[in-house]
Amino acid sequence: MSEMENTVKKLQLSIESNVLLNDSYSLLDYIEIANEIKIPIIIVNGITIEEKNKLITESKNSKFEFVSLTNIYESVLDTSYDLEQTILSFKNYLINMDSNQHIIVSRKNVSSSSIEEIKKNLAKIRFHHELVCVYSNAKNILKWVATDRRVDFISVDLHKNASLIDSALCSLIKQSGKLLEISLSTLLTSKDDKDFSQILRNGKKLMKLLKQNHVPFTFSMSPISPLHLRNGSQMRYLGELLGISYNKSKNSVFEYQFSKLVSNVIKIHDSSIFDGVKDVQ
Amino acid sequence: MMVTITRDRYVVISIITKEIGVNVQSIKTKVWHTYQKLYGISGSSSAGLYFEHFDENLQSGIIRCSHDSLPSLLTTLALITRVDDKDVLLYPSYVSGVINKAKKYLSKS
Repeated sequence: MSEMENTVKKLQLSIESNVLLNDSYSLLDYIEIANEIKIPIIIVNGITIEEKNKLITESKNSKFEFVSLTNIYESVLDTSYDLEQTILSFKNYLINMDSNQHIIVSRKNVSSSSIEEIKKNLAKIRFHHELVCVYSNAKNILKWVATDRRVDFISVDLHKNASLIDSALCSLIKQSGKLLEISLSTLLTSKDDKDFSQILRNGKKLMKLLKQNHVPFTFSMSPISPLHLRNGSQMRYLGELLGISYNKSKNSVFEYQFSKLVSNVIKIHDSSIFDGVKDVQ
Repeated sequence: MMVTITRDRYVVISIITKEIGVNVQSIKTKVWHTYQKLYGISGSSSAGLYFEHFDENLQSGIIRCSHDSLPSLLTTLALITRVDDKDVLLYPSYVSGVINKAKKYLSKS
């Protein structure tokens, strides 16, 4: 593959971080569209790592081949303990991947009305999913979640809980290295013009706050149908509507999610003993 | 006196849909309406939108706009989900400043 082709592919790297499967649409429906609009990584909500591995085994004879990040980690496994170096190796693998190959990742959304219940859920699910996200409509829960090490993302719906985010919560999120995940699907599914302008207003307020406090955020489409999928570049253009310029949202559609994902894959892998220490045979 | 020349951009779009019979005229109207809803009459008049070419068989076409309005057009395309009560995705697959290159890309794809 020529250097130019690699550069073009590199520019197109993007992730859809919240695909929820239902009776109407299968994973293959989503993958078909993701293939056309060039999204190589699909994060599926609600499936465990075991279920994901089963899907990967079943895909061997189908039109699209699913790949697991754990398998890639085993093939690029080096003796270095440097996370950045490992991320770079993953990216090189991704750039040279075939167009019909797609990486599948498992994720779980936790939503509850009490801290105790969330604690119980997190203890149960953490090692069964590669990514864990929490959604809540209560401020005290969001503040607790922002400091919990088992949580990767805090989900924000521009329609419902965007107003709960304030400066104090922003600094907590920033300190504990969490990511704020902004779901853009509400922009596509607004009922009418009034609803749409309300969403834009909430989004602009939130973005202003995040910019002031330098909080890392990510965009996801959380699509309700495969045709609601948008690639990284399109999500960044939608982000412009919320007042964040195209150049400033560069990391929000791939880099942040991907580094979180790689660090979790390393932690969950059998060779990992604890953070920064792994078993080398 | 300084002469300013407006530079154009040609966006190749693919119409991705699972349903048949998505009318090209309806797509044009939808793009216009969505652009106008977002950026107003003044914005859409200065965008210089023009539907250069549409191929019903390939389900793709070329839209021309001024280079200043390119981000606005791409935002508009990302917001469109339904045309004629049918689910569609208007995917901008290629952007060029020269129409011949856009046409060449379209014929290759």
